[in-house]
Formats: sequence, structure tokens, C-alpha cells
Amino acid sequence: MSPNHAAAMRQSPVNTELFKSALMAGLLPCANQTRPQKILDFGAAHASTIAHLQRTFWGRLTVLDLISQASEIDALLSDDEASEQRATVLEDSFKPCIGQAYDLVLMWDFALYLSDANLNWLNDWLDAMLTYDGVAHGFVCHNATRGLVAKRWGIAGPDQLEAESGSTELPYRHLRGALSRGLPDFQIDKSVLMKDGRLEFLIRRG
Amino acid sequence: MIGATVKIKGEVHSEEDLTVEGQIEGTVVLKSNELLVAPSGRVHADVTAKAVKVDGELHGDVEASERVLITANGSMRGNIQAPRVILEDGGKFKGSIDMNETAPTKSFGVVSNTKVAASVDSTGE
Repeated sequence: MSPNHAAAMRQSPVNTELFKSALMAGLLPCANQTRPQKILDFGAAHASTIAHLQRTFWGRLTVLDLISQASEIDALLSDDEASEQRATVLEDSFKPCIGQAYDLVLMWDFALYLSDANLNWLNDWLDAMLTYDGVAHGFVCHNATRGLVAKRWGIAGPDQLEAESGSTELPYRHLRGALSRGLPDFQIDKSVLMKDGRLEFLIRRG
Repeated sequence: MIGATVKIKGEVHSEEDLTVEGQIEGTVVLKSNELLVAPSGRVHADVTAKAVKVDGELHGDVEASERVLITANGSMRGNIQAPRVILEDGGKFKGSIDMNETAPTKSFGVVSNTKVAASVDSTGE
């Protein structure tokens, strides 16, 4: 998704949908927190996510707005000639979370912007960013014959996600197996088929 | 009010509400008052205030004793410490928000020594 497209999605949130998320229900820190926790959100800052977490969550939310740059990152990772530019872009993109360890990483559709080869890069980043028992949440495809439209995701409630649809199709159609191969240091803990054809997943260290 | 053609580099202290239509680079301290970054305003500064409303561009860390509001036109990059943070649809934010730092003793019933550990973690970053 180009930055312009991401901006357009932010400015015209037409077609907002709600999705029940059984995985999110058991995932978000709540009243039994005994220490402040840290959540890393790869997506754009979302009004609903901030409002919901402020009511229920004790800790730090870090928003990277990484998905708006995901296609650029994928291209840079695939270009051997672009090492200098790659380092600059990645350093700037990840600056807010450098040196931190997170209990929960919300990747949303990020994996569907990366090629098979570049999923290995994501594996290394997650390894560096997650706490030992941390969890990452995201989506892949359930059916490779069916493309998925880009969405801007947020958390609307304890077991409810909110998504604003864009007009472009996500560039890759990774299935569960591709995710497992691309992230060898992690294993899929749980997965649930969603009504739009996404496979919602949680991964933990293998 | 800091007008649209005004550029300030350095520390700004104020004991009244401040609207920025121009540019500030440095530090802004309004301990008991509100900072409004107007649509034309560009603040590249760490800010301490009672309340902050971002309708323009703010790059820097913000500590507010009451609230931070990022409007639909606003853009902020930095870390926020405030009891209440509101992002309007369309508002842009990149950085960290520390949430409910006092919540454990109020609503979660966590023993006080756990909260001390949280403070150490929070200040050590």
C-alpha cells in the first residue's frame, strides 16, 4: 500500500465492518494484570484501539504505522543494491520500538505484504521484539485462490475488531504453511477462519 | 498566540493557554495550561502542559496532566504520558502511549509493590 493510499484510507473510512475475534478475547491484558504490559501495533494509530485500551489496559502501546510502508519495505528487502536506503528506512520505521520487548505484537495484515523470502526477516524482527513468552497476532489467507482486500484494523472491544476496507488487494496470499515456513522460530498457537476469508492466527516461540 | 509567520527556537514557558500557528523548535512548558497546535502550526519540541490539542503537527514527547487530543487533521510523532489520550478518526500518531499508570491501585487491586516495579520500568526507558 502506498503512503498516499494509506492516507486516503485514513481520511475516508467508508465501509467499516465489525469482526468477532475469539483469539483477541483471550489475548488482551485485562484486570488480572500484575505488571504493566507492552503492546506493539504494526498498523496505523486507530481511534477505537486507543479508546478501548485506555479503558482496560495498564502499560504501553507503541504504534509503528508500519503497514503504510509495508510494500516499500518489501521492495527494499528484496533489492540487494538498496542496502543503505534499506537501513535508513528500517531504522526510521522501527525507531519507536528499538530496545523494547513486547508482550503482544499486533501485525494485522503485515505478513501479506512480504514475499516468502522476506518472511524470514519478519521472523528475526519478532524474535528481537517479543518477550520470551510474548505473542504475535495477525492474518494470513485461508484460501490462496481468493485475494484479500487491504484493511485498516483496530480493536473495538474485548472480542471485537473493526476494519475499514481499502480498494487494493493485498500483494501476497500466504497460507498457514507459508507462515510456518517463513517464521521458523515460532509456532502457530491458534488460528480461526474469519468471515472475510482471512485466517486469524496467534504465534508464540517454538 | 504564536502567529503563522513566527518561528521560535528554544524554551517557551507560559502561564496562560498557548495557540501555535507558527513554528516552535525546542521545549514548551505550560504546566497549568493548554497548548493548541493549530492546523498551520508545527511544534518540534518536548511539551509539558495540562492539556494538549494537536490540530497541526507535533514532533516530540508530551507529558500532560489531563489529556492529549489528536484531531482528524492532527499529526503527532513521539511519546505521550497523559491520563487520557483521544485520537479522532483520521488523526495520525506514531510513537508510544503510556496508559493507566495509576490504574492498578484503583481498579485492578494490585498490591503496591507491584506498582513500584512498574514505575521503575517506566522511568528506566
